Amino acid sequence: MSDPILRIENLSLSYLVGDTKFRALKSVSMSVPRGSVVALVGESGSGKTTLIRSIMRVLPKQAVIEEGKIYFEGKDLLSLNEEDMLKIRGKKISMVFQDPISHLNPVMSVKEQLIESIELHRGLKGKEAENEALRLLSLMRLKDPQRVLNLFPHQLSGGMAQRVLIAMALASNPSLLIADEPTSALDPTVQIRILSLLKEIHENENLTILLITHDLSVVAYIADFVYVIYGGRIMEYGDVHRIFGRPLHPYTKDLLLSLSGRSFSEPKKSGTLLEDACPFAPRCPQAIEACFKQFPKYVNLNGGVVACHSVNVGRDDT
Amino acid sequence: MKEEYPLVEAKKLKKYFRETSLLGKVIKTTKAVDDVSFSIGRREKFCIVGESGSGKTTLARILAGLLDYDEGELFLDGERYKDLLEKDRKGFRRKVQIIFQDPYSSINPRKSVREFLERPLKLHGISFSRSDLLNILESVGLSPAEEIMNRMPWELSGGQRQRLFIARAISLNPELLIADEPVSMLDVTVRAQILSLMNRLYEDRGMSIVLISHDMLTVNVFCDRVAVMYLGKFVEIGKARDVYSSPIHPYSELLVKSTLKPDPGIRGKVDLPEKEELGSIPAVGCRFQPRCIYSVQRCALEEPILREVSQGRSVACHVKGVSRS
Amino acid sequence: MKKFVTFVFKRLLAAILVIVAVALISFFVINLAPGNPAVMLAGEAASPEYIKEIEKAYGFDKPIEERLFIYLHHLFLGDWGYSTYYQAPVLKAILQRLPATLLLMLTALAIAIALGIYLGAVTSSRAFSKFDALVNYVSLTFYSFPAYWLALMLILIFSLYIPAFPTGGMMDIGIEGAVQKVLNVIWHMVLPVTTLSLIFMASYLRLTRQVMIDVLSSNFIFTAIAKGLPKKRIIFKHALRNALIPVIAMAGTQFGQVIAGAVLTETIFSWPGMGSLLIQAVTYRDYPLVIGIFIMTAIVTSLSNFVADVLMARVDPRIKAKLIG
Ligand SMILES: Nc1ncnc2c1ncn2[C@@H]1O[C@H](COP(=O)(O)OP(=O)(O)OP(=O)(O)O)[C@@H](O)[C@H]1O
Ligand SMILES: Nc1ncnc2c1ncn2[C@@H]1O[C@H](COP(=O)(O)OP(=O)(O)OP(=O)(O)O)[C@@H](O)[C@H]1O
Ligand SMILES: [Mg+2]
Ligand SMILES: [Mg+2]
Repeated sequence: MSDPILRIENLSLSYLVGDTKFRALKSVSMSVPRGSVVALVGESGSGKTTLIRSIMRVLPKQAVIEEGKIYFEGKDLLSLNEEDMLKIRGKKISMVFQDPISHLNPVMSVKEQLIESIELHRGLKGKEAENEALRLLSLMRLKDPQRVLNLFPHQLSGGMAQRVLIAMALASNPSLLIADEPTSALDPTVQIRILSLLKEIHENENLTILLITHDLSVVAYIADFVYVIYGGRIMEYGDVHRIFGRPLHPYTKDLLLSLSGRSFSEPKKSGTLLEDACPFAPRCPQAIEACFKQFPKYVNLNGGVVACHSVNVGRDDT
Repeated sequence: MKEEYPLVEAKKLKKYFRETSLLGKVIKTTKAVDDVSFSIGRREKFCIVGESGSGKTTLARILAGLLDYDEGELFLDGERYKDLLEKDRKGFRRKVQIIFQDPYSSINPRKSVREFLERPLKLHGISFSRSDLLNILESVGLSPAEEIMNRMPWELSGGQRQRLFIARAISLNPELLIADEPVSMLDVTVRAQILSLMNRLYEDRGMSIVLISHDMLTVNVFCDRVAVMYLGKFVEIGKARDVYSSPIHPYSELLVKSTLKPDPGIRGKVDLPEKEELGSIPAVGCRFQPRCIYSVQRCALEEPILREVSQGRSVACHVKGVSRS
Repeated sequence: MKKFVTFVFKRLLAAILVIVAVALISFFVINLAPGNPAVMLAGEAASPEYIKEIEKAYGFDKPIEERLFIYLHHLFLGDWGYSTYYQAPVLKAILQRLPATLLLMLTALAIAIALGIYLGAVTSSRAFSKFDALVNYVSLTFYSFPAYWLALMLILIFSLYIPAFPTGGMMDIGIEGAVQKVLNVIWHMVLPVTTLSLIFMASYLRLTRQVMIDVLSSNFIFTAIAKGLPKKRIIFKHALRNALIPVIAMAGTQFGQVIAGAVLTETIFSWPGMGSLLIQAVTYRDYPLVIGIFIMTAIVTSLSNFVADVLMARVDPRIKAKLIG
């Protein structure tokens, strides 16, 4: 694989809640190869949004990065000054946020918000910029793009707003697109079109995509590589075919099992867990004592990487 | 209860949005809900699926009494919405609850999760204890509930916030629960948990549920009946299982066939039954016609109406499902 | 179009209702106060003949309902009573003074609002920094100064020690030429306008700052940052437009009070406006004039609220949708 366009090393992050700390990310490392599609999957509340927000440095005030480095094209984003960050944000890395309507400015029309990006990053002006905006909106398969252009956010449906956000992110021809649940508000007919479009841009223009989704079908459709996150920790990662074919971590297995309609392990009452414990331990059918004490080391196994004591045990047995 | 009436009955409902200039001149009319009729029975799980922007949220807001319709009639328990809202708005709100698709719009940024949950209960004079609130949070998988309760809603993740809204809506124990994409941001495991919770409410408390979703699998698993919406119209209504397994309307078929499979082995091999070009919204004729691969000349000229093609199954199409009539 | 007309109509109606309410209050003050109400209207120094005349004109021998009607009718026709001190109709006396006050207040408010919003926006983006603290401290200091004190200080420093500006008045006698006149008035305005804007500014600054701090943590600001927009543009374009709504609302209500609010400042600078008119009216117990100023204040307040509503609708499409539809 080529050099990674994005590399995250040992990122730990906490949110300050009142006077306590909530650790949302614990020593997260990941690497996104240039020209690939990497999916980050995980349960609701597992830290996906937090992770990608730290890349763009658009975290809420309560967030504190405690440790770690984020390299984009070799530069550590966390230590860049604002001015250098401006050259990357929007231009090289674009982002599609979750909760689309709240991420659009309520008092600005779609036109103003979309054209702003086009003017800023593409240097188009006036009519040219407007035409480009229309082109992007039709790419998003919005019917009557001219009308959508003139609407304000509160007049958009959830899926329309989501597509406006995607159009805005693509407006700058970025080299890395980070998309947080970009199709969660779309019906299947539109979803498949948007995903194909992203794939097309990915192939033709070598766009790297970091995709967050809870939807494993989306992962299967578009991703090359998958990271599985649970409770702020990366549990397992590997090639998409390997993950779907031979999942290693009990949580990944759980996810895939529940897809086929089979039952899944009910989350038991979490209670308090040691800081270093494996976050999945309370739900894990294979949990052993060690899981509650110490987060396992990552091991290479069958062409994937996994952090699980029981998998380690299993390996020792064979 | 007036058992002889269906819980909800809609007759020729219409809601048009008109974009206006500042002086109020109409620039464009969007037919968000256009001549829609249906009824929802007591203890029914009714689903609405459909294209993004087809009017599902608009319809949901009308059903929740939050948006006026332009034309047609809407009844709850045999009484007109307009009368009910005039007579006893508070009582109506208690009976009918909605879970919004866009959870941010109704959040007061200065109220904690706890206050957020307490407010409607207090408003309706329902007594509750601290442990009730904790239980509600736990039931939607928000744990540790103690800690979550003292947070601010915007300190939750997207899916957690979505569940907070579910918690609030069901805490009032409404007769009719309208859920607009309540699980769109949830992964399979949490989604299953929420759906089984809603199913329990339906079974134990006899709650009727209108679920709006774009996920055909969810619809198939959860609902009794489903209506498929396209550009403001219902194009097919039927038993969820039947529509899912053998869709009749070309758009329903497209919807089912577009659903992705969680298998990386078959990626990119989806053959969609639609024309590539989106076309503009036709002024006359069938609204799906520009995309439809089955369309005949008549489709461009005459708008098909919803007709029963078999027991409990109606389709609006000139080409498909006409053999029986 | 129709909706816009309805909107304007409704707002005007509301404004008229407020004015009528104020008129009613003044009517009852006149009629319920001890003594002869005709004396109230005619003024204490009026001749017996004139009081007779007033008694007749306002029908003080008639039942109270009829009197009320007559009173409102008079008001509507612009007959607001007769100022004894000025020996002129009340409305005429007021209208003579109103332009001077409007000139002073509008200028002061415009400067205060512009500066307040600007500084509020700038400080909010660096909330809790040293700069923020300094600006807050200084503006609060001015805010807590009594107007007369600040005015006297300015006169002391800038017209007595350093004779740069006049101590009072609006225009020197014997100025020829339009341009010269305008310049002369501006020269006279400097000190009173400075006094008033310094005092008004603090509230706009603080309001803007507070609202901006909230707005700046909204999700759409994250979008703007992620787009790669420079900070200035995010603050002044994306955030400020959202923060403007409460500021406009405040300006709308504040504007009505300014008519009578500048009493001290106007008096100190011998500005020929409503403020000094009010002082004279009170000093000489010119009741008709006092009541007339009261009613005029209500009119200006209602109108400025109306303007604020229209402005808000322009800035925020959601408000526009609510108001105009
Ligand atoms: N501002 C905040 N203050 C405190 N805790 C927060 C804040 N934002 C998020 N969290 C917590 O951090 C954890 C991770 O949140 P994050 O938004 O990253 O989850 P996510 O994986 O994106 O989930 P989802 O799929 O539901 O969007 C969650 O448990 C959430 O409650
Ligand atoms: N307040 C409004 N003003 C103008 N048009 C509106 C307004 N609200 C909705 N619309 C329009 O009505 C149509 C239907 O919107 P609606 O939100 O009901 O769609 P939806 O079916 O819920 O879509 P999604 O699945 O994307 O949420 C859209 O074209 C939308 O732009
Ligand atoms: Mg998230
Ligand atoms: Mg919707």
